[in-house]
Amino acid sequence: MPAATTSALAVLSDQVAQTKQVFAETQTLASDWLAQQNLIVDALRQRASESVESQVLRSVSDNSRPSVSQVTSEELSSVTQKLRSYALGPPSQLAGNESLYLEQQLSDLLGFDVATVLDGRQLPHNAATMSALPHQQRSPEDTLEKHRHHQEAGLQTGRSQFGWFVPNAADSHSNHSQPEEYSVTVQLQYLDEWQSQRQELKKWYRYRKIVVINPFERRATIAAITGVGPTERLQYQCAGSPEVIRETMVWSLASQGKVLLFYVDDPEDTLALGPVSMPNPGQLL
Amino acid sequence: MSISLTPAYYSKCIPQDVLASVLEFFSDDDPKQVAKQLDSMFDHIALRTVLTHLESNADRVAFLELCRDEHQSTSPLDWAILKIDNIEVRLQESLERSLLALYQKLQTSGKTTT
Repeated sequence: MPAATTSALAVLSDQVAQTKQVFAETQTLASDWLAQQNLIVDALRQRASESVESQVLRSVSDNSRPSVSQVTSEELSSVTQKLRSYALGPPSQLAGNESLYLEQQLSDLLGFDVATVLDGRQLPHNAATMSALPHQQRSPEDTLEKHRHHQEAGLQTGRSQFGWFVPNAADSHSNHSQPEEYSVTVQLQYLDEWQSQRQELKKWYRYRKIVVINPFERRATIAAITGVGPTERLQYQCAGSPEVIRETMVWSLASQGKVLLFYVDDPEDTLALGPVSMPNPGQLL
Repeated sequence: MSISLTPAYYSKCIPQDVLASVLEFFSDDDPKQVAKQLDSMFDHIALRTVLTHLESNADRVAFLELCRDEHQSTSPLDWAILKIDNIEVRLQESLERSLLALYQKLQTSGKTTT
């Protein structure tokens, strides 16, 4: 009679238990820190995941649009192909039926309202090539070391065209604590009315929320407009902060900087800046 | 067998060939349970590897905070790359060692592959 076998899952569980024990014995600082936070190692991924999911859930809680799970895999593939095709084309603004179709599909997929036109204003480009910005100096006292992530990106000193960054400013369109982290610049300087209405336009666009979509990597990030540029000479039509570039995978070979930009219609300011879920076909019906 | 591991900052350091060999032992098991256990094992090993190679407690706390906030993004790894030489290789080696140890245990447990 063959010897009794142990199930593979039991062997795995045993190894996991041993791994946890070694961690607890060797990483006392981490164990203490986790205890102070009422966390365990296993909860770290859950905690981070919840913070992303909560943004999405919060955004869909107040409207009646279908949930992401009601979008079929086939529909998603079709929309993704359209987005990729559009992103690969020349820098341009969406218009007409195509604009309406993508607005609706993207709003369903992302779980919040996106728009190509808001208050009668359209972004200079909906399809654009994005360049990477260094961190921006948020205040005269700001230094690179004070930026939480991606310090390798460097720091651009000086005041932005929209002034120093003011978290929770009364006239901003974002309650995010730090709009610099997820920020973009767009070519407002080439708008027809820019010269005649510069102050009014600056006020309207300052911290205006947009969603940056990389359809090649299925990544999307809500960001705030925090400046004007780049210049036309650079062959880029917009620029993103290190966080936007990284989270949206704008750098990837498949994307090569090609992104789509839409306004986020969020009059109640319920959406936080940062990455948002963009479903994969495998997650859908 | 194919399972869906949760994305994590160290995902690209998981040796996929070794993982595939290990997963052959789990053909009869619930893929979700297997993924949950592997996620947990990898989380602990990756975190221990990075914390062990950081030089100061301030850096360790900074890394823990990054993991708490952005475990599924590449930010913790990007940050660790700046602080630790060859951390990607070190993570890959640690994760591979754990998988090979698991593989040996599975072989000796009497469970045969299908």
